[in-house]
Amino acid sequence: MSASEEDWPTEVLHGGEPMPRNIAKNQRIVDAVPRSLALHWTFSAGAKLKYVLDLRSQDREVQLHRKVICELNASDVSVQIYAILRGNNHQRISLDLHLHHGASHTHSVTYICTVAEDSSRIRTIAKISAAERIECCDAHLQNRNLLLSPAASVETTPILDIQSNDIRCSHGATVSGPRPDEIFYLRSRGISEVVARQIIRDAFIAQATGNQPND
Amino acid sequence: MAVDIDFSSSSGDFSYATTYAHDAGCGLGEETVRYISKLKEEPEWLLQFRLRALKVFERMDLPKWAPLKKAQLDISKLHCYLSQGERPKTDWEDVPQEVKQTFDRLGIPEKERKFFAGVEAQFDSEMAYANLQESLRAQGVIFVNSTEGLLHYEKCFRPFFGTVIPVGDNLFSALNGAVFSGGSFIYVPEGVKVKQPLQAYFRINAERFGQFERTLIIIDKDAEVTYLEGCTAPKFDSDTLHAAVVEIVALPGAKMRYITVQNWSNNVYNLVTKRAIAHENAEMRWIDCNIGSKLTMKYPAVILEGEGASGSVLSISVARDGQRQDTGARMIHRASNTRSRIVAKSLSIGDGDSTYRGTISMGRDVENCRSYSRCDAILMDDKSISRTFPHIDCRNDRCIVEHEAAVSKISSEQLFYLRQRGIGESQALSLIVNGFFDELIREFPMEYGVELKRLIEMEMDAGAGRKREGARNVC
Repeated sequence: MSASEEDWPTEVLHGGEPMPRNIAKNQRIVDAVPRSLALHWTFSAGAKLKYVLDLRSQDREVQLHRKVICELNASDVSVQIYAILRGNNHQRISLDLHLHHGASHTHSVTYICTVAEDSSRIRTIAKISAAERIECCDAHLQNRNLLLSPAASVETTPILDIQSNDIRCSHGATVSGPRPDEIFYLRSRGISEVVARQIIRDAFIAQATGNQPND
Repeated sequence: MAVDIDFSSSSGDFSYATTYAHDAGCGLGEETVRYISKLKEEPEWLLQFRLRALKVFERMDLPKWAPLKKAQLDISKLHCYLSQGERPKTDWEDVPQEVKQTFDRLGIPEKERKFFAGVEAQFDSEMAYANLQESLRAQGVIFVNSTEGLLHYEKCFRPFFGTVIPVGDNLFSALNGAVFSGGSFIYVPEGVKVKQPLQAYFRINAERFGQFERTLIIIDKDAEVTYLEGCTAPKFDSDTLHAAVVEIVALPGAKMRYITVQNWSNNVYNLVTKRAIAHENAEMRWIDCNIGSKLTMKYPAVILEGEGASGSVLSISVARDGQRQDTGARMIHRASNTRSRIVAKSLSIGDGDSTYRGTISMGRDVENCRSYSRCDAILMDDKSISRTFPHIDCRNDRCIVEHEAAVSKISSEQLFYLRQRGIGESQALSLIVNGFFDELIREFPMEYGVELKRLIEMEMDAGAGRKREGARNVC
């Protein structure tokens, strides 16, 4: 049994790392680089990766793009991806993710959470592909999108391209604004609508990070 | 009341020698278009429409994602128009003998007597037979072929023709616009509810032929109708093309159910454009079953144009060895309080390739809209392929869109459960697959549902050996 995730070495990306790069052992990578980047990882057998992306910027007009390719080409590779994309003002945020299962006994779990405020636009393409003749693979992807302004918009395309039958693969995507009953619940407890929306946003993001929202 | 409907892949694989009085020859050019238009004695505006479509077709190309290249469609080797020069008959006894025996063998006259309100039977480019129950005719229901609709009901036909699917919509709609022939024109007057389905049957009989029917259906306010189309063709060595266009206008409060059972032979390219506009509180349902063809590209769409409109697409596709079923659905929400639902289920057998492409679009100024889509796929063999390309575009914060998809093989636990209860392997497989499709099969008229189940059982029997091998590779 490998060490728990908390014990994995953590690397914080700065944006200057050469790509493609091989992940040889268990690794946690945190990416909060407020610039466009293209990341490409390959894996040695048995390696595990937890990639946490928090993509946002203070710049009101910025265009931020993240391209992530994970090639699971060795057996017993496991990848977890938690991505939070936040847009506000006139920002354009996009994520292009491709997880390729090229070997047997590979596993991936992806959770993408996006929050679009003001006039921002968030675009997500998340592709899971599986090569021919691989066995015993699992791939699951969840993509949840929250729109917090009538002028904000979200485009999402979760793609499956499966060429082997011994793989369990699923994806789900939802897009919505905050539910009126959620807003009503908070407002009826004396919380203003602005703050109520912030609470809903923070709780939504917390689901992706697994943390509780701050007070 | 049991009606024997045979969907098996071999049921349509026969043809009788037929002589044609009118043949536009091989290839497509301005002379082909003028030949068809002149033969049908069409007005000048329609000839101009066809010529404009031809120009669009010549300069247009397929999108990059298409599983087909324009060059693969060698129109120069295809006959774009073949007919016996007869107008559709209203009595089967008057239909030319070689045409009649084809439809007799397919069981169409028998089915008409038993449970259809009206039937049209298209043989290559033209309708050979068209009939509608007298009681419906008296209520003002129109069910004729598109040429007759155009010539005799122009006031009703022309304002809607080409408005749901414009000529330049895609390569195949342009091709259809240039050389269309046959197809149905249906008008159901306000408040008329047609209880029994209307059926059109499309038959390709000739080799190296392109069938380009065009269907226009207008359902007036609070009217209801179910339309059922079936397609077969004999298997030839050369490729055959079927590029239809179906336009539907559901006016306020109308209810339309459009059911397709596509069972073309494995040499047919089935490239179809289907779209409906649903006005206030109208309900549009596409129920689609794709079993045959070499390649199918079909993405039925509903434009939800009026408040309270709803649309749904229920799709079954089965891709066997050498087949590619590229199907999907599009829902365009352009009004508030609209609902849409897509359920697509596919089965890939051997090296069959099933693809789902879907688009759900929520406009900027709509609110309280909801869309749900689900696509599930089963891969029977290790060579089978499944692809899913859903696209969600939401431009406001007052709508809810949900999508989910799952791909897997038949689990060993399910098989084990059934086998330990004494059920044979092929029977267990067909039980599981029929259970997988059951939710959608229930939407078909009972006789069709029963036969679809039987067909799936036959498929499972045929491939049991192959699947047994696949089932051993269990995690």
